[in-house]
Amino acid sequence: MMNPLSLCLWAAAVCYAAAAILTFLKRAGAGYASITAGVIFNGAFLIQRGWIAGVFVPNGIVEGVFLTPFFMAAILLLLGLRNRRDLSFMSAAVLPALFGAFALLYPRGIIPPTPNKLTVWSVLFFMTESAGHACLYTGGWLALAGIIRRDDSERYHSLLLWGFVLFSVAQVTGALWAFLGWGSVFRWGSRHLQSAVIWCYFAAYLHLRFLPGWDRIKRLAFAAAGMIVIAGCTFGSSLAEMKFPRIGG
Amino acid sequence: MKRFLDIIGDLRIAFWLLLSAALVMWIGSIICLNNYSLIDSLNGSRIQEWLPAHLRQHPGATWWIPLLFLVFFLLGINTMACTARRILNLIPAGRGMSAKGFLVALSPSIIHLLFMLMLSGHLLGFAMVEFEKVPVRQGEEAVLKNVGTVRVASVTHQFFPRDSLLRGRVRQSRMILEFPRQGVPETAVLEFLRPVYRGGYIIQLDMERKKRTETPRIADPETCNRETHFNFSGPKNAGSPRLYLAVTRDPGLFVLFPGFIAVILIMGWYFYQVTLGSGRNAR
Repeated sequence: MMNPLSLCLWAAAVCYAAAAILTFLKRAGAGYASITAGVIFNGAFLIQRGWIAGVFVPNGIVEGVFLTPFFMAAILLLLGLRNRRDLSFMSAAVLPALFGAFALLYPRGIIPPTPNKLTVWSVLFFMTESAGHACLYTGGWLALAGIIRRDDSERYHSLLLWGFVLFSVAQVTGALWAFLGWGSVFRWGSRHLQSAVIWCYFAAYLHLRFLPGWDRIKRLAFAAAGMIVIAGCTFGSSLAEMKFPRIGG
Repeated sequence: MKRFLDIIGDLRIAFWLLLSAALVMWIGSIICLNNYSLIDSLNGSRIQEWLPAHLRQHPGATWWIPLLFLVFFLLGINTMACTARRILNLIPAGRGMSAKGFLVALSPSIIHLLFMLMLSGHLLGFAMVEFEKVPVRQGEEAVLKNVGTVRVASVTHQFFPRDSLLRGRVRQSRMILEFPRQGVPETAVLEFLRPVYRGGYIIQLDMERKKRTETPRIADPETCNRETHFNFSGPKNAGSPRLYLAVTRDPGLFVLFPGFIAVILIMGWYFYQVTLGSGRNAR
């Protein structure tokens, strides 16, 4: 029999997949309800994961693979609360569905935390980083949808702006954590460099609006390509961390 | 002057330089994965001392570092010129604007100046950093190159609860340090994530296990994940952790921290104004 932790994750993934399918079948309202249920199940999973070792370890809640689909779905929930009539953004339900499916394949246990990881700064870092990734992915997806549908919604741009702000906050909280733990705010290594890649790419995006020759379609394409940049910079480490020794789950 | 600023401060140059920086860092990140120890040795070393030697010995693994510095140097010049040009144009235009509208319009320029400040802070850190790591034991004295003699008066470890899956794993360590001062020892408490500051130097606690009985993992022989240095997932002996004092001095931090806080506050306020607030038309 499936334990409550796995049950919640499966339920969240099924809700996300159902939301994507319902939206594809032009039933965005039902899809929105399904996303809402998914957020609840995903949230329940994350809270349980904090206690997975028999003692509360917040690092279990903020692991990107499980937190990013939660934030992606929560963004859709917030967008719906702001404008209930226009659910065109619901095409982005594909994102939590895909990330939720990947989370199902991922080890549920936590990497035993070293003393240097047991700080509020690491929790803030992973939370803001995942929220930033979720905004940037969703903005990128809506940009792609804008190219396909040829609509003139600017929603994607706001999401990219807030994604950039959150990702910048993550760099600051991460820098504070690195300073307290290792005495420097930047370390020469793949993790820090790949974060800087994402930051520079979206900093370049922010300048596009002021460049002649970059019409709307080109800007949308650049924003959509950002999804590949984030995936290219983060997916490898997620795969590598699957091999790390874990506890619980 | 204006023509000069227009050319070197062209936004198109900024765009392509940002993308170039992203590309060089992405290549660098791939190289780091395959040369972890080599690139990691740059942390705590001064770039002007480390780079010439390693560029000769390992050109294939280090070529991207000077290129990255060049790209950021050019980006710094471009940003400076672009910001100067924008502020020069904004001042006369600002006379017809409200104070808030002017501040919203000025914010991107301030953010760019802060970005420049932070690039300078990083450069200062890379060029002036001092780092030393010394193994220590309870009751022993250690001579730190820049701080002087220190005695480890006591070491205590706090473990995760016995009834948890993390039992036997260190949650926090506490070290009492004694610095001799005119015959009277001055004490300081050192813990993980709670460094001691002394004479401009940051003293931090670092730790590795002394002995390992489990079979080493074959996967990821070079990785920044040091979990297995601290704890083991499999059966382990009772070897106590090996403790180190890491001593760092990084003058760039004094520039970086105020810059970090200021840039986040201004950026958040600016984006709020242009997306949700009343300053949407001030761009």
